Amino acid sequence: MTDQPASPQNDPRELLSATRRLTRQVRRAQRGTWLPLLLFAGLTLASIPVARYSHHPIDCRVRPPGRVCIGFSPWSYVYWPLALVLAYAAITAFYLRRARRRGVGARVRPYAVAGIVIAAVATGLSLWLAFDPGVFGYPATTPSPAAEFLLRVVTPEGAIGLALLVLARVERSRTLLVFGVAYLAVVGFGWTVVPRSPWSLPTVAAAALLLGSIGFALADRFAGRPAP
Amino acid sequence: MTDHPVNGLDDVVHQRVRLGILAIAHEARRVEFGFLRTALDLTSGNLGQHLAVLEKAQLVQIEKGYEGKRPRTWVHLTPAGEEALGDEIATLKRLIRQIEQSGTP
Repeated sequence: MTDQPASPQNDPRELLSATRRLTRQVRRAQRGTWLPLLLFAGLTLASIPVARYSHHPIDCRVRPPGRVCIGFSPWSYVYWPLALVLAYAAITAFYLRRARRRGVGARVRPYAVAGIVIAAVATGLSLWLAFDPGVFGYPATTPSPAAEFLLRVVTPEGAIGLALLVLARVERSRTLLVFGVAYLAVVGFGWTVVPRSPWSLPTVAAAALLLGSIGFALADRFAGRPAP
Repeated sequence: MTDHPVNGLDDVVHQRVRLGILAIAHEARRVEFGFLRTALDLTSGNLGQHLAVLEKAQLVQIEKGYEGKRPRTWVHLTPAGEEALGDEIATLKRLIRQIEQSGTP
């Protein structure tokens, strides 16, 4: 030890804060949140005619003053698994290519794998609930708000939202975490404010994803600019 | 020897540039030479010297290759590098705590 003052560059506080700055810089270079959001917004919009024109009731019961029905869209079960697998493959390719170009490793595989697993589980659950609606008291009672939320979360729109929470963890992005939770709330509770139709939920979900994509793209653009 | 946190500092790692290289490589998993040079604002020669020190201490692994016709150098953190980075960060935090407790600026 000497009596010389420590170099300001090796000051522990300065070293730690420089390390944090560099970590943030790497994370910014790795993120590409706008693309998955844009892609899923497009797929969700494209799913509307698929759901609309293949939707038909599979079971209807009289429950005064009217009747209650369980609907089913068989083509949605072909469209969504295919669309989601292709989307996650495209997202992985985009992230890997971009990371290679920027000179950093990519953190996308856990997201793509989780996205496909969540989509598979949600599709299974959704099929089970469609063919065994008695779980939620059908036809005697209407589902409780919690059951309605669960029914929405196992839709493809919900599966996309759950996977976004994984992406938020992988990208260590609090903003995306907040967005993912807000998006799931829109998907889960949106039916309480928009009319019930095969068009309404996907339209609201696609709009939310599109707005998110624009927001993240703008944030990326401004964060990438050198400070004045 | 006392248990003062300063004694836990590793001369190889306790240096702004080398700590920066380890932090970036940890976060990025693998990082290209050009990204390191820009992020740390260094010349190629200077960065090369720091990387050589870290490689000699077996804290990083350097992989040279081509992407198309372009030569690329990738840097990975070794398990020893991960450990050294974790130890350095923990020691720095302890040091800061100690400085704050003793009231030294």
